[in-house]
Amino acid sequence: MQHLEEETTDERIALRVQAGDQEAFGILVQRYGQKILRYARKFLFGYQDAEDMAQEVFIKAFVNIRSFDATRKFSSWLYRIAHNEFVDAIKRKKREPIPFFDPDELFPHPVSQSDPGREAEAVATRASLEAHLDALDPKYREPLVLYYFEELDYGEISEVLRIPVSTVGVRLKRGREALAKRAGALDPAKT
Amino acid sequence: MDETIETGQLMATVADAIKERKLQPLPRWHFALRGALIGTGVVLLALALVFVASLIVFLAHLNGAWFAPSFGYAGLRTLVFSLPWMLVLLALLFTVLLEALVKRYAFAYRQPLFYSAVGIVVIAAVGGYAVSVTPLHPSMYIAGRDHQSLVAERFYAAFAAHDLDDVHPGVIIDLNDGGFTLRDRQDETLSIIVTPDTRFPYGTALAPDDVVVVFGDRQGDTVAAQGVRRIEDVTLRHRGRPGSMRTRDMHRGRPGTIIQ
Repeated sequence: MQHLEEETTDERIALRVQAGDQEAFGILVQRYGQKILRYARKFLFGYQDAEDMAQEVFIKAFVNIRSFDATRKFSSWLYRIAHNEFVDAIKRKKREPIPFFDPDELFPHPVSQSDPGREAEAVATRASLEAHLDALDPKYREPLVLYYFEELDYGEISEVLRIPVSTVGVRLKRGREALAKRAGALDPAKT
Repeated sequence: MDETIETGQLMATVADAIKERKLQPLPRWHFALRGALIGTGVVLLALALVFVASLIVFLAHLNGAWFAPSFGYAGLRTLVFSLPWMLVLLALLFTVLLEALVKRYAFAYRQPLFYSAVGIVVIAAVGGYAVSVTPLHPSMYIAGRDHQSLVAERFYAAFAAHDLDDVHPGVIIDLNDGGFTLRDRQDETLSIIVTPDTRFPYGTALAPDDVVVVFGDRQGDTVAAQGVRRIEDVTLRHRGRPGSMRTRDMHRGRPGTIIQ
């Protein structure tokens, strides 16, 4: 088990679970436990049941493990399950609107390929995001959390949310703008 | 809380929940079956959409409205207003459902909705038109009209559009100085008056037994033609009326008579 923990890829471990080695699933929980908990806490900001949600994510992953295609990334598949679970939770609570249709998904948008000064900006955005999570719609909060805290790239976020890569770019941009606006409103010195 | 302890707790609660609820991974066939059902749904919905689109085109051919735009803006307006809008709405519903199903596939959700929606509309339009020019609808319609198939009779009776006031498809019975006589789908005989203003977008060479569509308002049994064009319509040709054969024989050897 120790050997598996250290050297094997997520996909190979998932294959072992698919083949019936249920103990190996514990390694996946160990690897992704903190990430899914963090994702739940940030995205389900103020919902107070992140631990239960994370537990349900792993249970669903276990039950549906044989639907995982090992030629693709396990992390994207797991985050997709988490996304569905969290969005369902938001819908159940009815505290925030989850639009059925997003016009941003309709037409293509140009995607910025290079982003100079991204590292420095990322640190500032992460701090701002941490402080103003409550100011953002789930639609913008989720891609920002996945990008700045979970460090997924545009393609991975596109796979998790099942939206075009260009829409990921649009949501991140609008989310950052909403954050800046909120930060400016709270701190007039920044405006 | 320390992250290691927290992760350990999560692992323990997940393991306990799996044990308590006696959970097992679902078998592969479960997912294969679900995938097959979704795939079948996509194919069936696409076929249904193409069929409805082809029915819309066929019905527009049947009442002649399909050809009306060749007579100008008024004809275009006639086509738009005569469309079977319930079927158009049904086609839209199928398009939305198909889009929702197709969005489950990576090739669709990775691209903007616009592309997959345009793809579906193009498939419906091209497939619908392609099916409409096959013998499928005409043969079913004729079977229904001639009481050979009760299902086809009821189906087309339910969907066939009403006759239009300003579009008259039919067969030319004979030509005369002022125009020609037309026998329409209801076996009514109409006197068509051709004037210098009448438009012939595809030429004036007309002869008895030609299938044509006449655009113009009807006054009693007379139509002042604003436009006339020859069309292909097997449902009008296959009427099984001995009169049409006689007419054809009468005019054999006259491939085309220029009106006017």
